[in-house]
Amino acid sequence: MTACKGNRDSTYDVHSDQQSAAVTCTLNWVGHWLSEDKRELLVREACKEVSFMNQDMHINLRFPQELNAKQIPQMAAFIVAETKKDTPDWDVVWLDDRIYESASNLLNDPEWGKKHLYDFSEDSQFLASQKEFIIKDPTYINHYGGILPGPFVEGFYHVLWYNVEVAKKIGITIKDFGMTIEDLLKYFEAAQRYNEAGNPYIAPFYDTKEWNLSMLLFQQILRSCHPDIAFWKQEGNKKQKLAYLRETLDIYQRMAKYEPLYRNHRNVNWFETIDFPLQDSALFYFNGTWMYNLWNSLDSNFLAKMRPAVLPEVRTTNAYLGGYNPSFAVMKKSRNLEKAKALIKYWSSPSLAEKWVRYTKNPTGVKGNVSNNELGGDALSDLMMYLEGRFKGNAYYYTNTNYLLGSNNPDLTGFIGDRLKDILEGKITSEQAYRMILERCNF
Amino acid sequence: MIKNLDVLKFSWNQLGAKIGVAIIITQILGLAILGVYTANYFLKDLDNKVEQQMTSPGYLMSKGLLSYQAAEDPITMKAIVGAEIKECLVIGLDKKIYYSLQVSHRDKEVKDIAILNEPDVFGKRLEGNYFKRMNRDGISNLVSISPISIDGSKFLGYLYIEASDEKLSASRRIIILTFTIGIFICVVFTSLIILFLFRHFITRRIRILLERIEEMKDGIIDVVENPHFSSDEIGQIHSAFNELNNKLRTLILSIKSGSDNLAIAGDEVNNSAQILSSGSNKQAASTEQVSSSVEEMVSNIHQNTENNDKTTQIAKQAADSTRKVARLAKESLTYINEITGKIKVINEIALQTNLLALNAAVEAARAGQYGKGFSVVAGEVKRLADRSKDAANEINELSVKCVNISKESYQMMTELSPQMEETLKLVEDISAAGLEMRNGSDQINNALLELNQVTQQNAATAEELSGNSDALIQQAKELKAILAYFNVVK
Repeated sequence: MTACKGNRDSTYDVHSDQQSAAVTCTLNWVGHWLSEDKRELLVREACKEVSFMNQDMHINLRFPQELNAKQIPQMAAFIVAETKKDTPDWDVVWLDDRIYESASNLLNDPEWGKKHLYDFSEDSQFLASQKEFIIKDPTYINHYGGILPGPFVEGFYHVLWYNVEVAKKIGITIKDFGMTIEDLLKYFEAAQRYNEAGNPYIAPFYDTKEWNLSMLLFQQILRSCHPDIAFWKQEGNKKQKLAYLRETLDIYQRMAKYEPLYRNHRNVNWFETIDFPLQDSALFYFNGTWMYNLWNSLDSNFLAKMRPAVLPEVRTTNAYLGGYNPSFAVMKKSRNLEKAKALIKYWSSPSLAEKWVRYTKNPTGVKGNVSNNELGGDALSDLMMYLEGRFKGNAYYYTNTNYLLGSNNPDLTGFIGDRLKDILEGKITSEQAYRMILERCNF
Repeated sequence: MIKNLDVLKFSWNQLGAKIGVAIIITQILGLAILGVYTANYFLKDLDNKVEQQMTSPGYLMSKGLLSYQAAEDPITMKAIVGAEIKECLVIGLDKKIYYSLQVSHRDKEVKDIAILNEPDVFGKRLEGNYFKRMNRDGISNLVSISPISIDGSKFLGYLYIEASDEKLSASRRIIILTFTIGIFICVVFTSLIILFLFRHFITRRIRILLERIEEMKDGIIDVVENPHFSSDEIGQIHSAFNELNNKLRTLILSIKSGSDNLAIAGDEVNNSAQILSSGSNKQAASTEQVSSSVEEMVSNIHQNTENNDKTTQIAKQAADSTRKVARLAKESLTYINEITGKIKVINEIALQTNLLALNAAVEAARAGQYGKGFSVVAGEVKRLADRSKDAANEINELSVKCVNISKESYQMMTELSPQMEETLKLVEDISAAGLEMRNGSDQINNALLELNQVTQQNAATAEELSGNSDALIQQAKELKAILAYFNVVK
């Protein structure tokens, strides 16, 4: 490993000041989105472009899959390993809220980022490149232990993907907008009737082993019990929050009547079954809008089959389930800190933000040159326009249960997720699940 | 419309054709010069634009307005450059190929790619754009190399674009063709327009004038209303011609009418001349007869004149005698009147005497006896007075009778005298008339002689006139025949 010369102290840039073509350093970069359609392309293009702009630097781009860090826990472990080194081998790493949360758990330090990651929260040029709500909403800085580790390029919303052909088979028409909990229950009921009629089994609600998709729906239902997102951002209100928890669990119990959960969910891996919904085997698939690139790499015409619907709400709210991820972070002790920052600057550029939207059909937290990056045109774009227009970037997503149980309680994300599945499978009641959760808390 | 197509009929005899050809040649020359100049300008401009277009991606990349990645997007590059891109490379200062349209060139270096052997610009800062036409296996390509920098300061590398020259060549061909066709169309259209305008405003009007003149040449001179041409020179010519036409027409009509009248008059003169000739001949004959008669008459008149002279002398004598008788009768009457007067005196004396006698008788009476003697004397005297009176009365009666006779005689003489005078005068007049008649007859005779001569001359002249009138008629006919050439509608 060689370190780049000519680093600048006060500012960073996409390029260095080199006038010479001689390579003086190598920047090691753990990328993201391998095999995710244009997301991967975006990373590779960025790599090439930054290389061209910094010809004195060689970028060594590797993807987590190539580093045995394909999944979130593995990537978290990879980063944690880097933090142990005096000088990390990898200058720029893939990072999102879940990885940070996972690493926090591994390091048992929610604020590990301050020690090992470069903080852009003091960088005015960086701050100017991010959309206002990224800077103003403490959610984002709180997700990373009080720092802003990188450009919040990746934006996403969780939606209720449904298979149009399956819905047609079942004989229902799904509401793309304005779906209620009652509507969702009716859809599950219809699916159950379809299955009980002796038809080939269709999973009403597809879920997997390692990524509990039930939790996504849980966050949406729970949070929409209160119309204002500020309610959840505040510590306290424990009684009311628990009441909402109970209400949510009761809704899950109502769902359980229709056996909605995919029967084989405990045996399937999310990464390995991405194409499952495309095979007309499931009706609903609770997941992010990033599925656009994942499915697009499998079938460029998938939108004709898989259609996104806005998640149902208990009450009309002012926020939606989704979020913005920095995607990449710079290791604080990087030997090529300026070059690494230059790469991050590139990811903060308006042209890249627009390219992101164009490539992924997903929102971004980086400012573009145009006010609205997406102009509609297909089901996903229309939905994006609706969500952007209605919530104006006011998205939320919690990687732990502090918003519900308070920071003085342990993160029960996994536990609650398992209990939700138990309810849906009819193993326990909502009442039992509620008590089990409370038993783990220090109320 | 079909008439307008006459303009397309080419004939060197047409003024429009001559001028049209002159205009077209001038136009072709002018437009050709202009076309060559403009085409050359456009071609140069096209080259500049192509160069600008080919180097613009480099500029856009330097400004951050175009991603380097675009070099691998043939559609984008084609859209910017405007030509089929054969190769597009983003080459670093390190001579590495970062972006390449052709996959085979990606991740290679300049030295590995044959087309980059020339020119030798890589590995050093390029200040301006490089643009050249290069021949690749017999095909002309456009090559541009533009510097890529950041904000004009940090030099990153080069954008190499090799594009097909086909479109540019096609554009050049199109420009040349367009100009050629444009010039041709322009020439054709402007020529047609000029010819049309020329025809409409000049040739047509000249032709109308020519037709009129040809009609006039053919003797057709109609009434022409002034067409509503403009007041330009040709319009003025038209107006003047129409005026001339109308005046000529009026003149010909007048001449025609005159010739008709002349012919008629000729006929009439001929007839008259013949009549005159005939009459003159007859007159001559008659004149001769009259002349001889007149000569005889003149002789008689001479005789009468002599007789008249004699009668006049006699009448003069008779008149003188009459006047003398009358004078004598008058004198006789005077004398008788004197006698009568005297008788009256006698009668008055008788009266006085009677009165005296009476007085004397009275006195005598008064004187009684004394006057008896006297009364006797007075009685005698009275008787004498009475007798004188009676005698005076008788004389008076006789004188009255004589006076009456004298008066009657005088009266008769007086009455006869004027008659005699008148007779004399008449005789004298007759004599004078006879003389005058004689003179007159002499003059008549002389006149007849002259008349005879004149008649002879008139007859000859009438003959001559007749001959001349024939000639006149012939001339009038010939004139009519000539004027018949003009078809002048009244």
